[in-house]
Amino acid sequence: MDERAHDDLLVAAMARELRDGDRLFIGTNQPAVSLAAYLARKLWAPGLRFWASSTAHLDASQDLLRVGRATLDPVLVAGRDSTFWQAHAFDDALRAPVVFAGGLQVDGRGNANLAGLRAQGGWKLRGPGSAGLPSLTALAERFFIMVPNHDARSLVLECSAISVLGDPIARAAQGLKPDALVAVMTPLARFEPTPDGLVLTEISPGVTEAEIEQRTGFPVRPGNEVAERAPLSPAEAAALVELRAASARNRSEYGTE
Amino acid sequence: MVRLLDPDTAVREITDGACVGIGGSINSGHPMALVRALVRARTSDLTVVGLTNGLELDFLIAAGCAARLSSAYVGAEEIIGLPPGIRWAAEEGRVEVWETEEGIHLASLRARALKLPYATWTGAVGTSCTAHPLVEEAVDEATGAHYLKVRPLKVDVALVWAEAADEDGNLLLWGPDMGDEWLRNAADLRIAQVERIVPTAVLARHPDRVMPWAAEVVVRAPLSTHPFGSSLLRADERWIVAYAETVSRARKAAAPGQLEAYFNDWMRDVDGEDGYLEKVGVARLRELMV
Repeated sequence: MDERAHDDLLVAAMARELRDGDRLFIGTNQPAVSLAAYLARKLWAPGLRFWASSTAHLDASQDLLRVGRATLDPVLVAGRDSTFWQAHAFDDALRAPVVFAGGLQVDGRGNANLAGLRAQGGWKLRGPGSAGLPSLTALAERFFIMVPNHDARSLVLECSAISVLGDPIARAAQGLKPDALVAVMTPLARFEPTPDGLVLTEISPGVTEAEIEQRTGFPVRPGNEVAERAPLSPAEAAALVELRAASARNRSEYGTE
Repeated sequence: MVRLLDPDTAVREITDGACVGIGGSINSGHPMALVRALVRARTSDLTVVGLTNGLELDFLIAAGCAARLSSAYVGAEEIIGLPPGIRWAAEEGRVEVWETEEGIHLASLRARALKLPYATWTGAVGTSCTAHPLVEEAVDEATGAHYLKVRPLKVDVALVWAEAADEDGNLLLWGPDMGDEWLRNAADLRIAQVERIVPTAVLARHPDRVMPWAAEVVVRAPLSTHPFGSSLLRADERWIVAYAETVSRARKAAAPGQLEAYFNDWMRDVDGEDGYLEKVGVARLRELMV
């Protein structure tokens, strides 16, 4: 499988985690999450509802696939069917029970870092910041961490800062729902948290455990069963083609460059 | 009494070392006429704060106006990668970064606005954001619950954008919320950049979008959210990319002077805000208009 195929399969794998009736928060710069949400809603979760930064997408028929590129684009805003109050984003802690987080780094305990990479008391690389994810994932019923690149720079022994607390032991110590982190997902693999750290539970077709070990910066421990990620079904493949085309068309029509 | 000022006069209210909050969200709704006026005035040592910021904070840091940053997010979504000026300054230790997140930032503004000794927040416990200078970890004696005490953020001046205002400082908001509400509530002085100044009766036609008595200073600066979006403009992605490339080139060449030349060219050596818009060009502005 080439890189694009693995990326498509990751989107499908993320979509498969979403259930009919879920309320999902889609944050800034999360086009893959947006695509996964539309895929799930199209194929098996018609009742999936999602927030997308500026807008609560109440109407399931809306075609707003360009979310992620320009959150408050004036045309998108004009077409919104409700207003998302950023100043009151956290006033209802249960408004967004399902969340996908990203991360510059994810460690072997299931924590993620969007702040940046620290070195010698300073910054080796300053990231975009943690946005709302520290609170969203603290309060979520269930959340996932998605890592777009499976390599030892992203999957590390220890994060140099923690934006997202996924470690079940540390979460329990803070009084948070310990098992809220469901999985860490990459284009090549899926890991699940345990009290002893992440375990490998799924790998993409054509990828070996040895390759996963080589490309992961923390010791890879296989779970009781390591499944092969199911390939794209014909329906998923067709829907992804359609959704990507709609996304490209929307971007063109909305005049983004 | 509300004062109606031009951008350069308005930012004279902001002294070196002040804490300045910038409204808007990511690629939209930033009061850029005021940001550019700060760059022109060579204001320095600012602490710049915000909820979800775009590259307006990057400009202020790259131009040498700001020495401290507390923002939950600074970026341009998919348009560019990481904020280049902040990266450069942070990685060379020229800017102090207070790691924060949206819940903590809002709590610090709420504490300030409501004159509380601290606000409490339960999100973000156990994360690096608890190292923020205004945050203290705590445990409730009665329940054992972990929470954060968030001290008030003293915002000296809030710079915000709104679609319109009247001469009493009543603002007509765009509609979508950009998280500015608590920033306005928490600030000692609120300077609003607007597209137009209208009679109160015009605002009253849109009662659900009017925020009463929300600015002490009003600055009329049409189209001056550029390069960011507004109710009238889309974000100028080409301009944003060109800016990021300029910073990257200057960094690669280890030539801060190139940045100085860039800010001179676009913001200082032009005839004020009008000069900036003329440099962007009527044709480009018309392309960007909704």
